[in-house]
Amino acid sequence: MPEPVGSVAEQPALSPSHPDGTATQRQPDAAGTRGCPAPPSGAPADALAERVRAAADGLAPLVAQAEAVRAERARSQAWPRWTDVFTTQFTEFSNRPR
Amino acid sequence: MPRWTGMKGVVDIPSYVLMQPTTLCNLDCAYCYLPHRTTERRMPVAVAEATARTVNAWAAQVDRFSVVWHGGEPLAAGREYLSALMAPFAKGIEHHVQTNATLIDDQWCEFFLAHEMEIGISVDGPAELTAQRRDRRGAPAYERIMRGVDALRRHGIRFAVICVVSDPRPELGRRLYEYFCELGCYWLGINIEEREGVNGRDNSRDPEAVRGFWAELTAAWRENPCMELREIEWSLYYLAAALRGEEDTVLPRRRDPVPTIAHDGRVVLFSPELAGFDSAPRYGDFALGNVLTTPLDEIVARAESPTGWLAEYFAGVEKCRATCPYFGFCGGAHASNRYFEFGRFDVTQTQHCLNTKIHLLEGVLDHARASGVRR
Repeated sequence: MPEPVGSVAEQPALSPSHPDGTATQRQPDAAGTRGCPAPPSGAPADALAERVRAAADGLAPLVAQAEAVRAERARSQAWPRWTDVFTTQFTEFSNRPR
Repeated sequence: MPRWTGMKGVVDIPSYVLMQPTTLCNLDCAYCYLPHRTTERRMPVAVAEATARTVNAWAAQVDRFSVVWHGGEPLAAGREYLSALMAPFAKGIEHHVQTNATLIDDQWCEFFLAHEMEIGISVDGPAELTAQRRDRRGAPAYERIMRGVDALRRHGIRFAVICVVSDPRPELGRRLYEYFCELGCYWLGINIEEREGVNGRDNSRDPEAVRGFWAELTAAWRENPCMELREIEWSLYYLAAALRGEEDTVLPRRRDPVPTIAHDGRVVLFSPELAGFDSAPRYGDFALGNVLTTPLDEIVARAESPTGWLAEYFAGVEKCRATCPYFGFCGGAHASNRYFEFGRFDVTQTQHCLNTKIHLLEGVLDHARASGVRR
């Protein structure tokens, strides 16, 4: 584990090369974007839907469990959960029940 | 790949705002992104009053609206001061606080109950896994966090947890899940450590280890769904839609601007982590305005005609939309991750995308495939 950023003293300004002066920033590709490479499985980039369908047997009980616990929470707490009404980006701040 | 249609444009009324009552934090966690956390800069009450003028009007038009008190460490502002900041907001607006829990005592619990606050705490697992959470002398914060948790339990106050994982690996998934079931939180969100703000540590991780972590977390939740598990449940929500061939219906049609009101009234949209940086090369301070001089709704409306970094960010989102098969799951790389990893906003895939979106979804699929074979 690398050591933490040196000092927690006030950081007067942001530098894109990072305030600790040691980290190397990642570089975009020549097109100015990094692009989205093939998925980790090595399958073609447009094959996510196919991989989902291929996992359907194993997904079915998981999806059923997720729907059941969500329905139970909605009943017991009388409001939709955040997973039911997903109105924000997927951030750490989406911690209110929705 | 579907033609993704979600997350176009910005909603007129956000679902919540984040408020920074103070920049100060009493801890000095190794992975913290916050600048100015050693300095106490309190939010003037006038900032809360100016924010509330817009928020109260918004809240009157929707079923629910939340104010999230974030930091620094929001409880470091003190009860009396936080109460003064909360006072301008209309009754019925929900107040939330994300805290390191070390300052929670019986008096704070009474405050939470009196104000009907929702509590989120930050803890990373058992003591040895929470070792990066420490004070400025380097002393571990874990025991103080647990005293805060004990106080919440005594008062019957439910709490959510944000857990930062710096070293995701398969065996950690189950261990953490079982720990948090025991802890008794009702909701758990996992943040793989991010490279952002003043934390310049490399966030590249072994893809197989990260996928294995998420797969094992899925397995643990499946065996005992004792709490709401943000990442896994959201993944399954998306995957259920994908199985129906409706994966393009999952994202909101328009993006929530997530306004963050910094201690001095400056407003940053979309990525709270960008607040507090005053002179970023090429971008300035990322703020779109200040509530002390411009109504918050006018500031938010500026996102409809973006300039500067915001225009660059939206261009980056469109690149994600055009190229990434996971766009319907995440809505595009977060602004702060783009900036802090690449120094610009018009890039696409970040390491954060990989750790927290792509490997997550693939890890859940890995578990599903493995369990499907066993059935």
